[in-house]
Amino acid sequence: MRTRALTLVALMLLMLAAAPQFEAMPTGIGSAGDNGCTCHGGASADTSVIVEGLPDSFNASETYPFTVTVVNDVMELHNGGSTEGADPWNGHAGGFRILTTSGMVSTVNESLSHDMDGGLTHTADANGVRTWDFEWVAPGDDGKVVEITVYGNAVNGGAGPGGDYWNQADFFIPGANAGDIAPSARALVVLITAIGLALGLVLLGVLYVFYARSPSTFTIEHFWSYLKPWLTTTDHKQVGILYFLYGFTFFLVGGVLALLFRIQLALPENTFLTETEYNSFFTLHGTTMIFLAAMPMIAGFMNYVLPLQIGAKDLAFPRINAMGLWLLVFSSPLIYAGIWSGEGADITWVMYPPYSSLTESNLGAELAQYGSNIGTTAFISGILMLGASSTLGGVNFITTVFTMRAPGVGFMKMPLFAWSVFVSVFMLYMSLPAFIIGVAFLLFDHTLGTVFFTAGGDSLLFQHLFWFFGHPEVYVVVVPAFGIVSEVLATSARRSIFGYKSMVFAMAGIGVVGFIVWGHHMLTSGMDPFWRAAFMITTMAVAIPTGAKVFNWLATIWGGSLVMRTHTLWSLGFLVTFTLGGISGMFFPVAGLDVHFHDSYFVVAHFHYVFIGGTVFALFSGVYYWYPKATGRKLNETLGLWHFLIGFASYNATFWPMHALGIMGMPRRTHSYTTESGFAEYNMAISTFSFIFGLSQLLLVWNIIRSNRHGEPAGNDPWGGWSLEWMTTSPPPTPSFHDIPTQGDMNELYGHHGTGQKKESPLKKLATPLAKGVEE
Amino acid sequence: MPAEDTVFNVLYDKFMFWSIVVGIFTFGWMFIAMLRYRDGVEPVENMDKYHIEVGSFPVDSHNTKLEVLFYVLPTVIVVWLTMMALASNTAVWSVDENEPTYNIDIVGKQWFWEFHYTEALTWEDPGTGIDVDWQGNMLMVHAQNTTGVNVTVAIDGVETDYQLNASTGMFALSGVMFDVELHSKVTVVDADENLLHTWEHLPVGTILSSAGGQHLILPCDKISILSLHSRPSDASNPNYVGVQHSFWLPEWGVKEDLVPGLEAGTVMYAQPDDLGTFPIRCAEYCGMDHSKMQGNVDIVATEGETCEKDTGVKKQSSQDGEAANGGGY
Ligand code: HEM
Ligand SMILES: [Cu+2]
Ligand SMILES: [Cu+2]
Repeated sequence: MRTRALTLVALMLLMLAAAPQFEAMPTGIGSAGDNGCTCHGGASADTSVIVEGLPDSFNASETYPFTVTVVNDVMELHNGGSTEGADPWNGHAGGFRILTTSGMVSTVNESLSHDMDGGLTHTADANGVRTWDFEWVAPGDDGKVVEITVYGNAVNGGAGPGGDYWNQADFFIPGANAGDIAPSARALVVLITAIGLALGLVLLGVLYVFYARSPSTFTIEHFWSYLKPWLTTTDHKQVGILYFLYGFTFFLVGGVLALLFRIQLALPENTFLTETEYNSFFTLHGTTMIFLAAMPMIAGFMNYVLPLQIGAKDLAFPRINAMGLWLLVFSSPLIYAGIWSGEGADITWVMYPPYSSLTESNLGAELAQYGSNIGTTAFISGILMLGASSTLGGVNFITTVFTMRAPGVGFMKMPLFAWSVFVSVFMLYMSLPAFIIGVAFLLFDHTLGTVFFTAGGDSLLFQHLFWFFGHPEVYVVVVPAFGIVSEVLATSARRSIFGYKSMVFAMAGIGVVGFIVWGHHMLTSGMDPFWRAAFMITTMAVAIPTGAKVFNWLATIWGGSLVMRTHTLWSLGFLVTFTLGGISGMFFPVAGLDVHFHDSYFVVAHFHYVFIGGTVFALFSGVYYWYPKATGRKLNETLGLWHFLIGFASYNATFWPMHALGIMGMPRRTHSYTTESGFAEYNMAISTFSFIFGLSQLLLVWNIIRSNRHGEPAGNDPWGGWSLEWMTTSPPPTPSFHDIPTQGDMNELYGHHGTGQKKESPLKKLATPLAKGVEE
Repeated sequence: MPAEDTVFNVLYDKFMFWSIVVGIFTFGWMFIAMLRYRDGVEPVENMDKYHIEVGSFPVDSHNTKLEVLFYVLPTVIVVWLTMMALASNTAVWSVDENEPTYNIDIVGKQWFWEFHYTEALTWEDPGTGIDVDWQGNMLMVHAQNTTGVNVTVAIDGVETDYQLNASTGMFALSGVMFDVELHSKVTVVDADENLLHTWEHLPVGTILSSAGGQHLILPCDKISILSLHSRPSDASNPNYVGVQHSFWLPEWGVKEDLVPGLEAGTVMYAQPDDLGTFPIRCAEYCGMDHSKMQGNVDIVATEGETCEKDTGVKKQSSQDGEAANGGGY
């Protein structure tokens, strides 16, 4: 048995060793040497640049003559190439530009060229022909590899650049003592290697987990029969667990990225990361956290809990559900692909064009530094796949809620988590089309040469499309959090939720108003004054249902009897931080404030208060709450308490000072800041605490792994919840209910609408002296 | 950090005040509830009335009046805040007709700012005890009772050094015609080359650029009307129209995006009323060197002015005028 496992490990190591070596793409970005292109018109394969005489390898300081010839037989010459007439073909036939990483290039006839921006460029005298003689003086060090890039321009003689076509030729010339040149791999090979590697590692991890369960009975056959059902599962519980684990893994990955760029920001004028790295790290951080961490973790809960709560055997379309999961899984390698080329996507999670639609392919190598990194194209494709995955999920959940509620589970008798999922999925489903169109057009700009969002197109249109989706999206991730907190607080206070109906209306209200506020992200984009005022008013209005929800939660715990479990603590923590985030949110829709706050660190502080303090805290709460249902064992409460105490404190210490930085004038997405700016102290503190926050998450990781085997066994209903998921065993059978249950209604038995015993008004309780509580 | 007398600061204080009111109420209620109604702390009567049993929807806990109140309370606050803030919507994007204005074009490129002067500006340091006077073909420098020693006259980039008359502290140069179309600058330094005084004329068409470390120079006590355009750094490829930037002046708490392809451009206003040098930042991500896209703005006094007026928003007056201007901001 053991030998087999070892053979497998050895095999994988061998695979690692055999994986193709690759070099990062030559970036050239950042060197002034790429400035000042003299080629004009378009790049075209019809133009060929023929270089004769460059050696295969060079000797130190030797001079090599070579010739460059530009050929283009198909292009149309201006005025038919005639040298006569009023507007004659003026003899402008071609031009060149040569960049070399080492040594000296010059024309044999000195008057034909001059140095410009770190490269050699032709003069007007050289325009008349398409072939030129050069000399290259090799560098004195023959231990290196020299890269020579030759641009040749075929010019048609017209007045403007229209109708001119250029092309380039690249040469890598090793010195006599340079050794071998590292082989360079094609992007696709790199991508496939990376995916294979990642999959291999995951497989290894799972193999170990399985092996550790029972080393004595381990065989590979057992392993496959254990693994295969997980890979091919369509059961909503297993898919849910996979969704959650996937999301949680990426939560850690995104966190590591954040810690890396927090190191960069800890000191002023730091150079720990280059600009390109910083920009792609925060882009991947934002995208990962929203699309690959928060949404999948939520999807995990939706998948696992929703069918159980409404008494359904499974989701309406189990196979489509599994397909959604695997689309999501395979989108992440695309999103991250660029990293392996040294140039990950750097277009921010909001992907504003024209920057995001400009790349080397439509700008040309010379201007490539002004456009987005090469990883962007794959990134956008990955985002499209995510969109597809979410759409499938949307169809599935909406159908399930409409058609598969068990008897007794009326719309107004659904648990609040089920309601929140319904509202959230509906919002996602309604807003995604705008986003997908925008992203698809962006991809066309990258790959097909369209100009939807650059010259002649409209870059602001993308912002509208994005935020028409983007704003509902932030509610998509926060509304399920409302649902989780409602469940946890009511159960922990041992009551029913206060104002069930008003909670449902509040969520539905947010779901509707959330669609007409997107313009608040664009108040400073030259928007019409009427629309600024309109978006300001609608945005402020969102605070009304949100405020009502907070008050209803408070009324739920007021007069209750809170059992302080870890999940209760995280939900109470949610109340604190989400309220703070909600209050700072009121500052943005106001034009007079937003003109200062927009795109500053105040925004970064705000959205981490609602994303972490809102969504993530509620998800933690949900993990501690439903973990017993999924595994049959409770998570460790002591570890949980430490996780909460350390996490909650360091979280606030990390993100609170960002408000101050924003007011002081620190822009977001900033790779570095000067010493004079005065931002240094706060940033140092933020970076320090962010590490504590990041590390505290390991407590949860450890707790999840450990309690799976050693946790205290939980019965069917460990916390005293009432909804249907607590009726079945923990973990539930598959399919989740053998017999569809019927949900009862205590209101029918014991209800007292206006009759019977009069409930004490919570208002009266509010007014009772507090001394009693404080004394305790 | 925006100055005291900006729309931002006045509004921020008001919002802070109401946030704290809302915060005290909500957090007060929250923490008391959390601490008081813990399990086992206070005996709670009759929890059974909710009939929490697995598999059955429990008895509703509700109170219609209270639930409505929970909607009404935030509504009142929101309406109040909106009314308070609505005026700012026009205030930050409009000019008071009676105030003097100064127009200038700001061009954002990857990754620097260009300042295109569409209005001539002649300015001079006030309060240095030195006066530069250039009329027709007569240039006079009065530097009596100062430590000034040398005078440098730069016309269209050509510098000539002169000495002040050591006994009178004066300097006169005749025969150099003042030309409104040339960028001219007169500086006075002391024996250790410390700059004491500057007089400068920026003609229409002057272009200053932050790439070369030049500062934007704006006159004080006028509303600066900044027209913003994004342009490509290299015009050789028609696909490349420039990218989004955002011109942020933290000192006055204002910013506006630069939108490529928007021919009319966007516009923003700032009303400087104190001398000094303040930062310019790019707030919208614009590619590799976004973080380096910074600059400085010098606020100067137009020739003959002192920059002592207080023209900014007054906290006091905006409160006094609340009834008159519909709530102020
Ligand atoms: C260890 C925890 C985290 C730390 C230290 C952290 C830190 C940061 C910082 C400093 C930025 C600003 C980067 C910049 O503008 O230069 C940022 C951006 C962002 N973060 Fe986080 N973050 C954390 C977790 C999260 C989580 C959990 C979420 C969402 C659920 C999230 C969502 C975002 C988003 C959407 C952005 C904006 C990216 C962009 O500008 O395109 N972050 N984060
Ligand atoms: Cu929004
Ligand atoms: Cu920028």
